[in-house]
Amino acid sequence: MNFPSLDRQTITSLKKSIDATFREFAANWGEWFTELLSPVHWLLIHFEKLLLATPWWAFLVLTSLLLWKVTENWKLILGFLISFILIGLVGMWDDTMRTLAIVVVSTLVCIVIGIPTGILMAKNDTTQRVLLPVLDLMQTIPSFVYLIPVVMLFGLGKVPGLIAIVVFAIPPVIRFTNLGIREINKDLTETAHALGLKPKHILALIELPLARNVILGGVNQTVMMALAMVVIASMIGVRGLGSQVMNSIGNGYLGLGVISGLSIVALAIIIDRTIQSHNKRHDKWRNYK
Amino acid sequence: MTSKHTKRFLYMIAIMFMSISTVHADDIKIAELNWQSGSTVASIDAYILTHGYGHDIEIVPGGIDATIQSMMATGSPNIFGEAWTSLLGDSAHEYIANGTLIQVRDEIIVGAGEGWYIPSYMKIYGLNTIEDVLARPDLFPHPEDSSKGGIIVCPEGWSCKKHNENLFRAFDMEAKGWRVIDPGSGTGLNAYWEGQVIKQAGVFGYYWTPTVLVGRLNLHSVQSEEGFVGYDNWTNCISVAVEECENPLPTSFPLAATGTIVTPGLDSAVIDYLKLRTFDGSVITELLVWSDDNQATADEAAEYFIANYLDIWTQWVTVEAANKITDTL
Repeated sequence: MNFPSLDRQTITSLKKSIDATFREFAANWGEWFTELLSPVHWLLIHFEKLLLATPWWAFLVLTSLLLWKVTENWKLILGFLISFILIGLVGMWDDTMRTLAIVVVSTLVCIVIGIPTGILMAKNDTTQRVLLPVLDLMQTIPSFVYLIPVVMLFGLGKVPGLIAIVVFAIPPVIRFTNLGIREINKDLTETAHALGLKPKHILALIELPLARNVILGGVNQTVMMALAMVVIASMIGVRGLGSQVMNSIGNGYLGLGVISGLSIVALAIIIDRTIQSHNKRHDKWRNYK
Repeated sequence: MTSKHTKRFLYMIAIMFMSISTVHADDIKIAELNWQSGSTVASIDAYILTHGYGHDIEIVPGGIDATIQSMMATGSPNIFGEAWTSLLGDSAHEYIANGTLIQVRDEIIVGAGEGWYIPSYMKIYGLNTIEDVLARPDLFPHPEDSSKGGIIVCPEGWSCKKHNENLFRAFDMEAKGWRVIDPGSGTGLNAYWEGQVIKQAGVFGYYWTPTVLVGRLNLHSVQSEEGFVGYDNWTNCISVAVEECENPLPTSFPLAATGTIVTPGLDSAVIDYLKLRTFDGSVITELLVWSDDNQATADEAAEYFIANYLDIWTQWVTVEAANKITDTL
């Protein structure tokens, strides 16, 4: 027996009213949202231009120095140099730079929005109750569902791509920030409070430093998810390794698929190991003290 | 298996297929194509042949390839209403040439095809041809570089990608201040058109008819002042990879060749009807928009067509059939 569903007319008019409401919204607010996000758009375009304009050797040297500064792990730097030289040799350099640009900017946006949100969640149980299901929704709703409205609002290209990435990749950094702060031994914060520290000082001097590794773990997850999202984002015109993957799927080019897929993997592994290595080094340093 | 057994086995299969494919006067299978206009045309045929000519119609769903392969191999379905003949394989054209399949007419949908479009509200700038549009990149700012004009092209992996790339070169668009907008996918292409038109923003580029989108967004195709400059340029240059096409000539897109293909042995009355049956592209577009507005099935769209477009379909059928069909309304 069929489920006694609403009649077809009602369901149709429901779906159509969702369509119409959204169209109206896009018509009235599309420009406004585009304006609102124009700083991010500017950042995306210029960071990508900068990466593309940097000579390859300068990129390798500067990034190696940066990696040394944050990890002091020469094996990691060696791995970075080998994989990026390979990427350059197979002709994926420019696309890798484009992907790196959007992933870095997306991650920055995730951090800037995510860490304060996570702190708010940790401090306020109601916020946590409200936000947890929202985060679940963001991580599980099929991205195609919001891809179309995002393009209708913002057009094609980097900004809608960034939004799609951020929606999918921001939950870990929020969750981990929340968790990291909540896990801290209450005795510590209570003592600090008794000694007369203000909440903002407790946060800056005790909670954030202690939660640091957990938060970085969340950032790491966010970067990984952003990289995974790069292929989906290329469906709405974000150029880079993702569009090469789409290209290989569309044309049935197996080789191109493998090369561009492995380039994404290389990028992911290097970023992951960098953050881990940095955490380890930091722990060592802290234990000596 | 010995060759004798093999032969007997093949005969058996052949007999099975023959018994399936024998066309009785009251048993016609119509292919229902898996795109909007294809299924609507199939439903209209089904309605007219059922109610006007008293045939028992069976609708057989399928895509272009599955349908034509099945027609070649088994002689069923019997009617392929809206066949885009340029998309059929070589073997299908051989079957048509040697009479195994019959193309009863061409131009099922007048004006069907791909092309470059602009929304109707851009017409106020007096943009009537591709050349007019190309002279005004400022009206169609590229999302990532507003000093350039943006043209939305085909997604990667579609055969029209090459057409667009080569036409971009043929019209020397880079020098005229244009850049390509890559939609990334069919989803991106649709959503971009929809979003830009909702915002009444400048948008120019690739789409095709007959589609709901062209009807609902009221898009107009723009042609080149050169017209369509011939298949030599189109097939040997515009349609091939950029490296193999040295001197692409500016041109309009060719119209798509649509035809109705049938298996032999259909009633002559049915053939007469199919020979007359043709749609203006705008009529099909109206039907598609109506279906979309009402989220109607192809059958409902066919009923709507029969009820509201008498002046069109009564020209295709005998007076007797027309009376029978109008009696059902």
